[in-house]
Amino acid sequence: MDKSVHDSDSLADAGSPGKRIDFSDRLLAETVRSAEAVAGISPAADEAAGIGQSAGGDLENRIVRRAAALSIAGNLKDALHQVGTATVLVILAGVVLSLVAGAAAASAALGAAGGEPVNVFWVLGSLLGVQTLLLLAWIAVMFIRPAASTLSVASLGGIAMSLGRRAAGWLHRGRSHAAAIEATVSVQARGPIGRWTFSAVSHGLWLAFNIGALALLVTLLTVRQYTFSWETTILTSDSYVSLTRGLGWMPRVMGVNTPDEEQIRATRGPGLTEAMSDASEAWSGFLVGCMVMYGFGPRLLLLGLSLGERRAAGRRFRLDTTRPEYLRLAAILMPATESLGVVGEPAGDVGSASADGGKRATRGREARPNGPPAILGLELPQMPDGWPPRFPSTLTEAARWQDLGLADGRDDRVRILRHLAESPTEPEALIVVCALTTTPDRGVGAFLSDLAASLGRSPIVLLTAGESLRRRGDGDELTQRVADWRIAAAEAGIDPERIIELDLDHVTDVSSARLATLLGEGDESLPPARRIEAAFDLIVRHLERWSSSESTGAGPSAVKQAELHREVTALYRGEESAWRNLLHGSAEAAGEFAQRLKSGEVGEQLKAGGARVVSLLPPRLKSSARWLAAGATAGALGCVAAAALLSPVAIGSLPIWAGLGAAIAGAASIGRGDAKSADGSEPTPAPACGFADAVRAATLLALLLETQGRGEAAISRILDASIPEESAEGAEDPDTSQSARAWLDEVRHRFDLALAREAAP
Amino acid sequence: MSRPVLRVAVVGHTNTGKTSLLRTLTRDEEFGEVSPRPAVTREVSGTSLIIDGEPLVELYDTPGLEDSIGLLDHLDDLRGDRRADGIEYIGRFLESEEARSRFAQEAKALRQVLACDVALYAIDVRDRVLGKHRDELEILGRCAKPVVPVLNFIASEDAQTSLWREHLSRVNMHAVAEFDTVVYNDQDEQRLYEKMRTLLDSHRETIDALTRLRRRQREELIDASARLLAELLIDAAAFVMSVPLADRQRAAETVEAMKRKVRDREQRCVRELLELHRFRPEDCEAQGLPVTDGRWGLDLFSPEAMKQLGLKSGGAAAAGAAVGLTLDVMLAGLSLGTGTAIGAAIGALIGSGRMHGRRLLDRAMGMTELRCDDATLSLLRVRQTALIRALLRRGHATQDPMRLEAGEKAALSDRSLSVVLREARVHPAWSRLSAGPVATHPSPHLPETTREGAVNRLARLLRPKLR
Repeated sequence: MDKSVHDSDSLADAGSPGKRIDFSDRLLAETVRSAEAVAGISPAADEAAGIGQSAGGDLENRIVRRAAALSIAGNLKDALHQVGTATVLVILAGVVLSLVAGAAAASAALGAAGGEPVNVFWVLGSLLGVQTLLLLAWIAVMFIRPAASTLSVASLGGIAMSLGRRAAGWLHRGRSHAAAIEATVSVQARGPIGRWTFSAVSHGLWLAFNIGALALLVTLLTVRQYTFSWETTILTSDSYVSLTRGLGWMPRVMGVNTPDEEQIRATRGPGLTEAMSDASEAWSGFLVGCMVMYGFGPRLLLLGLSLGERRAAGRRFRLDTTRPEYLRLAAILMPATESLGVVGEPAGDVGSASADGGKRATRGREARPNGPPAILGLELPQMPDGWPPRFPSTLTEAARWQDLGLADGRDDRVRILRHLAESPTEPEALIVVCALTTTPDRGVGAFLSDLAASLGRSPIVLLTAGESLRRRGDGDELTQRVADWRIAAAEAGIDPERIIELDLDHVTDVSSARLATLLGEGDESLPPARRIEAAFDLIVRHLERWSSSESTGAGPSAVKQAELHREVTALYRGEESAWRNLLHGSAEAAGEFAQRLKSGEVGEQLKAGGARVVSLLPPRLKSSARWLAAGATAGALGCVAAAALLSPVAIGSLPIWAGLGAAIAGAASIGRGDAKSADGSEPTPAPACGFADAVRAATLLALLLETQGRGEAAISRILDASIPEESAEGAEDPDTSQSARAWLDEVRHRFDLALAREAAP
Repeated sequence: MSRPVLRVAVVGHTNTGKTSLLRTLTRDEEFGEVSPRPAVTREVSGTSLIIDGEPLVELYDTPGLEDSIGLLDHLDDLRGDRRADGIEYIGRFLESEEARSRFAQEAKALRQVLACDVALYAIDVRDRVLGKHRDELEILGRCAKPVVPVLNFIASEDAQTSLWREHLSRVNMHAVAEFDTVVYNDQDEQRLYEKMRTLLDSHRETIDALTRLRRRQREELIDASARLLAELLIDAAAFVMSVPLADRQRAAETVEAMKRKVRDREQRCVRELLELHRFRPEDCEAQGLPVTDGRWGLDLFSPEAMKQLGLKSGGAAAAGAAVGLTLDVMLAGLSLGTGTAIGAAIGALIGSGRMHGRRLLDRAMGMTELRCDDATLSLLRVRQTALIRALLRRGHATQDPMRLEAGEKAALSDRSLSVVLREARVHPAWSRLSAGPVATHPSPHLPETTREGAVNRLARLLRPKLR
């Protein structure tokens, strides 16, 4: 009972789904497509889509059912009907016109009764000639290029249909009528249906023409007396005899009386005798017979054929479901997938590592003496600098590290855990280096908790390679990934305080300091993270000392400046290796430089050091001669100061001072080359000699040391932001202790802002 | 002939793109949940592909094998020192208590692998080959099911594809498929099916049906895209409006109205393309498509848009009217350029005398005609082509889509294309934009049979340029 009710419901809903879809349904679907192309998807389309989807079958069936179920379908059906009616009306008018035209043609061809003898072949030619030619043309088109678009402009039917559309468009100006017309055209433009429609109309019109002509012909021949003749100037009588006999063969077969050879010969020329009335009768039969056989007959047959073919084409007509509009519908009407839902048991509480990790971590253990801190890499990607990573030497001396190697797989994990369990000492800290490019999983969690358990305390989880993750274009995901690692590590029982992000490719002293704190080395072993204030104090203090001793205003000597630079660099002794690399290119080069410093053959290296600092200057400063000189000075003196830290020497006694000016000028001129290409101006470099220049050089060095560890582009950006614009008068030249202090304060303020900007994402 | 249902399990480490792989294979953007976070998929969920009306392929998404190292340890413990098949103690494990507690997630995945005909093992090739991966492969190897490793993220610069291939061949997995779920490549998908086919002789018919379906769908997609583009170009090329030369105010209004219509038409094309390729407009940016929020950043008629493509705006500057529109001040179509246009114009004289008559009338009344210039048509074509190409790759492959290659520049002056477009220029009735309240000829749009033909011809010419 329920089932039958449901069935009848769906029957009503889907627009008689039991019925097989036919051409008119498909035409409606095309009309809907046209209408929706203009107006967008119809309102209440969802419901119809549901009906289409539940209709089943192939995509076409669903599209047609949906179209029929749409609310606009009724309107469109009416519009289609009206357009069809308008077209039919136009064609009927054409038929009437054709009838009249046929009659007129026949009457004109026969001429007035009782006058001149009627030229038989002239009559035949005027009634059959044009239409036979067009018939041949139609056959040719059908064989050669049977495209609907050819027929639409090149056939009587096409023209009539086009007029019909125009009439429909003129009569009905609504949107649905436009859609109906468009759909009709689109259907006709595609394939055989349009071809046979146009053909049928063509043949129908010509059939009407023939009917009109025949009717008048028969009427006139019945009620009037005509005499027939034929004439020729260049042809022989024989050819006319055979032509007439040939043309008359078909009517003869049909039982029509046609002239025999004698009658034909007798009819020639104007001299036809009145007596031959039986010949006239035969000629009348010939005329009518020819019109029926060669005019009326073929058109009737072809009309029948075209109508039949049109009907067949209508039955064969299918929607072109590859059209974009239908493909889009396909997504809705014909789901390509079917959800199978959740298979097996739904996700419950998945046993996480934290449960048993925590258990293991609380396992009782006997106390062991502390050993050196240990480090291990957990499932790391390729490390650019290899394993183990290099930490600043102040953090902890390399010799004291215990390298547990990389934990890539099961064997490594077993080895490391066994080592930790069996070692007579217990590392005072264990650093587990993890990569942020790796997704934390329960396997990692389990291993971390195993480590915590065998250690008796939480290891330090060091998250590196954040930069690589960012480079993958996963910038937004970095924060998420860090959070995931923190969750995973916390679940494994790691103290959240002991999880730090530290990009081993970009160690900064701030992060080193944090690591040192975690390692228990405390702040006291490290100088304060920020030393720029101390450096600036040094600069002001030296400036005061210089100006009190050198009243001439010639500026401090290179030796005195070098002393200042040495003191500034000494502030940054902690990260020595990093900035030594900055100034020398490599640790080896720095060592070599220190060795050769005492011999005085270091002009080229000083120049290189100066050039390196100049290359870090932002373009704005590079275009200033002063800053070029300051950069070259800072680089050269920085090299000397660094070397002096490495192997302590009395700076004043070094033999390099004579060549220093030349080296600085050389380094500055390298920078000038850059500047020239940048903006075309040509600053003149000179070694720093005034107080202000000495202050600038020392400030530059301090800024460089403070920013070391960052990328060169970042350093350049920070310098650009930190150094104030120079005023034209030079009134604020930092050449007295007051002005220098004010200037340095401004630099520091700007520097803080620049750092904040750099830190912002 | 009855085709057996093919059951496929997608397995892999956590966050290697299993769900993404499934979404791409099923073309179902709604499937599951995708996130860069680990272990988002916590249960096995399936979807079946309907091929020729039958649900022939079942695909199952599984939770990640997170603790493969621990699991392999556990499996080895289960084996003890007895000699047993791998599959035997996998079964024993699945019945054990551990399979419901510590290794519940792994057990679900393995259970599904056993229930399926083939497993796709998703690999993030940006990872190094680590112990956990080796152990996962080892465990899968013991399941006695064919495994096709699928290398994901091969387009990344961190990809270590060769290392992975080397390792996989070391563990006797030679039918490896490369399939980037981010940068879609239809060839890769076909190759993945081929790999599955070599391993699954009994399901050959099913996989063939799937392969055919996907190939056909792609062809249809390209066809339909070409058609949408062709319709846009015909609409724009045939679009003509008359402006009174004397009435500057009205002329300016007409120019604006015309620009708006062409702009809207382009927008419609973008919308239809996105819809066709099942992209939501709001996803455009995330997918690296050249459009944001379903719109082009630069206005069609802005000089920057032209400049970006290295196109020079044609007669617009000379006419002083507007960028992108050209005044047709000469007689019907003769100003459109070379001899081909004259041919087309003659064709139009024959084809639609009515329209031509009105033109002459317009001219007598001091009106002139305004139409899109060639550069605008080129811009329309190039922009949409770039979009279609990006859509066919599902984004990302086109980080810099608006730069024209040398070959593209040559394509701009494609003769066969320009012949169709020039023909369109002299058939205002072909344009759907000509109708409407702002047109000066408020006749209803009368479609012509010849328009269909022109659209089809143009679509055929455009099609090869979309691949």
